[in-house]
Amino acid sequence: MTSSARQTILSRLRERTSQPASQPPDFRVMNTRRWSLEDGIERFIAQQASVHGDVQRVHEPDLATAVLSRLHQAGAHRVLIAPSQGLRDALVTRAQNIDFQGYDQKVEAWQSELFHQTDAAITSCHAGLADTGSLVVIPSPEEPRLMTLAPPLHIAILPVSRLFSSWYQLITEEDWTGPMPTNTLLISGPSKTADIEQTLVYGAHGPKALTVFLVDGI
Amino acid sequence: MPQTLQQSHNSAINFQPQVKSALANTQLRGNFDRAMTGLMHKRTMAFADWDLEALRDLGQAIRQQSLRQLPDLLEQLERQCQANGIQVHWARDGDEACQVVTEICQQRQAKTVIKGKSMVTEEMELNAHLEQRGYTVLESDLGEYIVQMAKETPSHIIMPAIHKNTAEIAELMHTMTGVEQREDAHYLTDQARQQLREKFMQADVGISGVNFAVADSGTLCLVENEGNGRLTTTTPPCHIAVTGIEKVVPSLTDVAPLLSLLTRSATGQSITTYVNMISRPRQPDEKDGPEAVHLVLVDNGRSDIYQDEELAETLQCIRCGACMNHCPVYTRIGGHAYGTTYPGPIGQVLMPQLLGLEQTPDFASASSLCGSCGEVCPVRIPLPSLLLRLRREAVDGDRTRASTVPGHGSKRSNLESLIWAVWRLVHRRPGLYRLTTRLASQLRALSPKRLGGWTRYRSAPKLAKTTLHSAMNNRSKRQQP
Ligand code: SF4
Repeated sequence: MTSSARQTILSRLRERTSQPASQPPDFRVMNTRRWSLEDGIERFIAQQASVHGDVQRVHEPDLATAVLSRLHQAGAHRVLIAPSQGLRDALVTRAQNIDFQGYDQKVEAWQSELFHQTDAAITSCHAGLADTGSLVVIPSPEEPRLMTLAPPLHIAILPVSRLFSSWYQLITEEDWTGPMPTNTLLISGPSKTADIEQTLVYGAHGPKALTVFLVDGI
Repeated sequence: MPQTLQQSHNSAINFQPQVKSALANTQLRGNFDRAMTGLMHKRTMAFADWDLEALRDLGQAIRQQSLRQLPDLLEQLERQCQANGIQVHWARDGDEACQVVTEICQQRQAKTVIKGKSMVTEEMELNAHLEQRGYTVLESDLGEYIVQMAKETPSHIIMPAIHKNTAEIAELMHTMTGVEQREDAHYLTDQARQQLREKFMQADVGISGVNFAVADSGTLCLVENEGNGRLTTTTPPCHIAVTGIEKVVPSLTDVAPLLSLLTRSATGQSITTYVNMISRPRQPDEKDGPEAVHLVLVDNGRSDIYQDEELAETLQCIRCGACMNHCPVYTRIGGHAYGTTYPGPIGQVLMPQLLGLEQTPDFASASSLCGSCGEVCPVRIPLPSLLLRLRREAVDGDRTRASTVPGHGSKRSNLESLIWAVWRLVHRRPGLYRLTTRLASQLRALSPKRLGGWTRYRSAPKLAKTTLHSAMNNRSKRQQP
């Protein structure tokens, strides 16, 4: 059925003989969205704040302490972090009462635990975008997709050096044409909804809070 | 009330009575008025630091260029998706698309299906189709969840439950799910979150829409705030994405500007919480995500619309909803009065082309042609001129002329045509014109006081004592010495 449907649709589309005139796309307006590093950082923080995201700028040596205090503040006991995350050892040695674990088995084996008993996840980011205050996250076998979705608190580590002005700048500089990873995400703030009489509520189906550590010196 | 107003496939939509009852419902009008005023303001603010006109030019150019290469892009998308391990299906119409989805569900021996927001599945009435075949179907977007509980249909393409206020939702959730009846959006959202989390874990299949399908990488882009779309496309072992064939664009570079336009036009956000780009099913070393991903490409009338150079602009739409937010008619009657999947200006242009003009006879005329929709449309669809075009199609005299609009000529009336023929005749002959107007002004006492609907709210027009012609003649005579 679907092969004949394919035929029918494609040949019907190709029946159109006249091609309406149209202007070729002029992308210049996208390049007007550029900021210097310091302005970009300021914009990133402000944009995240406007969607309830919290950004803390720290120097690399202070990172573990800052992350720990955020975890304590949230009362987190069970925290997901990839084994290869550089921060992990520093956290494990210093933390009391917090159990750090990797997302090291297929989700089917521990779905309920992941959804109900995990308090936070710490992940890396591919990049940050100043224009919209977004994180670019590319899930991987060590940092799977649900890590940034199931636990109520998401902590993201973003090196200042990975801050771009806009998604368009990132796409063009890194040439995002052709094959892409399994999943790529832009994340801006914790999940939210305004479906009940336009009242904005954070923590819809994903995380209820998002903290970004913007790190100098890595 | 509104839930029963869905169109049936063979009779005209009851537009006028629905409009009347919507107008009489002050609660409903209040809900829409508040919401739309807020949305218009937010949109303006969101574009404040942009060169909006340049960005709209770009959006329009990208959509037009994509449509121009549509068949090639669809083939490229298919190739790329298949190379990535996504299975691609084609469907000529809604029924065929429902069948494709059902077959996948059967193969997977699925019982429960969870859905992210998708207008094309509303268009093909997928939920009813699956439910009839014994599947449990659950909407996971909060607005859709509410609408489904109320057994209604969405009243807005972006905010499905915008017609309801908090009190109504609290009562509904209390009755349907047993939670406390608290008029507190935070409490209600949290309850829905808990109820749905369980469902996400149990569902066998997740069904979502697609905002942009990227041909050169085989990527499906989904834009959302709640995270329900991500859960729908990540937790169940099988993900079925359903999209209209017009949603394809060449590359991600094209998505960036369209995304900037979409979220700002829709809700005034500079970006949504999540932009989810899915390019393949779970790989062997990955620990979550669906093991199977399907893409269903649905035509359902789009390739017919595509044949008409002017009307094909309808297909540029990125479903932002800005045209309805800015429409004085939509704001007053709300989405349900239209009785069709897509309401508001885009609905008035698209639905007659999908369902036929006989079934939507008043759609093209239910507009003051104020032009707001055309001014805000992020991809510059000339909605007012398309409405005019459909008005012409509706009264087209030559029913045998090939037209892509089903039911063209269905509104033509002999009396109306006769009146216009006489009008034309009189205006072409000056002697006859003067004679008729003089006669008419002499018989002005006989002109009717009641003119049906027109005189219900206005006084009847009356001819002047003297015609303009004779008044001018008299004046020039007086002025001559
Ligand atoms: S017609 Fe234009 S304004 Fe209306 S929903 Fe489509 S893109 Fe948005």
